[in-house]
Amino acid sequence: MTSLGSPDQFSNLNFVAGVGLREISEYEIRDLEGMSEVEWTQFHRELLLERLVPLAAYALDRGALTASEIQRTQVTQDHSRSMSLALVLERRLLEVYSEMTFAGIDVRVLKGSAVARLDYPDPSWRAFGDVDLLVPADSFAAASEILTAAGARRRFAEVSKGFDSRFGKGACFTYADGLQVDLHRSIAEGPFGLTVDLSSLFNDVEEFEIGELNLRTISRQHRFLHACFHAALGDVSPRLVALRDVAEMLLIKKVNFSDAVVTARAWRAEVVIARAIALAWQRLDLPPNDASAWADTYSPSGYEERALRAYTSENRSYATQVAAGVTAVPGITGKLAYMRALLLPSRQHISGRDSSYWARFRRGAAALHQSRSSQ
Amino acid sequence: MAKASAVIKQSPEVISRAGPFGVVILAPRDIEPRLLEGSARLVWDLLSDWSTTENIAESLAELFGADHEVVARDVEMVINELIATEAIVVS
Repeated sequence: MTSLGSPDQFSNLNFVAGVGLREISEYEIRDLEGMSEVEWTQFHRELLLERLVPLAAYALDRGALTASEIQRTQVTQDHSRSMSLALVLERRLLEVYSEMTFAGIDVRVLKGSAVARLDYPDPSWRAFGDVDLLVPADSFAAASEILTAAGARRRFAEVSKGFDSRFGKGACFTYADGLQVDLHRSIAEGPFGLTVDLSSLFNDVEEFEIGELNLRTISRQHRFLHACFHAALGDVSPRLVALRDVAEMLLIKKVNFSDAVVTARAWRAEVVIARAIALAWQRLDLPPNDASAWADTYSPSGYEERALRAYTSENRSYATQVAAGVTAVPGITGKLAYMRALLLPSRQHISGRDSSYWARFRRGAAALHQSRSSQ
Repeated sequence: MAKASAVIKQSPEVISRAGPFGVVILAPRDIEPRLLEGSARLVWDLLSDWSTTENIAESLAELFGADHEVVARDVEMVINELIATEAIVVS
């Protein structure tokens, strides 16, 4: 049994994130009780931040972790709270989804509830913190209006008129009660978001049920690709729960990996899948398989390397990602429209992100310069 | 208040999550999710099929070897609360 009292909290979190994905021998069982109070406090906070509480609860339940009564009680209570939040979010999802559907919008549920209910052995294994919806580009404005009419407030204004429906990933809306809805046009910001075949996301449908309502989500293969996008591009240091999603879908739900790679190639995003799988296998300490072997040996194209840098470099920012998207926008007219929107954003957008037009211009120009010089 | 012989079941409109903590449910008239633990969870689980307060009380009294009247009172209290929030439906 390994004590978690060691300074390697990182490894302990990885262990929890991988629970249930592979057999664990008795020598690998981890003991939380050996932790000092400071270590436990830190570990507990990280469990919450990484949304790993449900997996920790199941690890305790199955004996992969051992803990003191106090620690066990804390994890159990946190699990109950995170599931209560999931229910509150699902109720909001039902309201918003129904309103949008009633308005004739062809909406799809992304991530959170759909992944918890379709891709995990039980929805209580997967915590989430917001509602994510995908709508067709030409319905983006109407969907935004529905959210605003329901009292939600957009966090950042549109970059410039028409940007959302043509180039944007989406927008984040918050309600007075603190709940958040992320409205998506695409599944990623920047270059990789611009090469996704958005119509295919709407053509391949899977349904799931909440209460008595059937909701539509994207296909299993697309959910896997989205999970990879989120894990590989979402944060500089990927969230463990995002890596878990990738591994869960490959190892437990047996997503057709070869088909997924073909789709990723068409989206010019094989490198995204390779990065997500490589990170998941490394962080969750999973035994090698065909997918991880492919990921470890994948050789990205020049375009992929440049595009990926916008998400993974130290000076990663919204502006860098958006600027790097120029190369992915098809046609000269499209590129010019994209650059114009980027360099001449609306005043409302700037007031939410940058202090002035000048600051925005400098950031945008610097990002464009960096993007070009790395080509 | 439902009669002890009324046939009842979980409402299909309820959304829930079960785990080692018990089960949290959010019924149509609930403002916040409700945590059901211990015997309340057992009552909830038994209501996944049509049943009656009488039958549930009988099953639990037998399971725990407890006094039928005491169990029946507890079960009735839980069920009345669940009916009030429309977490269970009466046939």
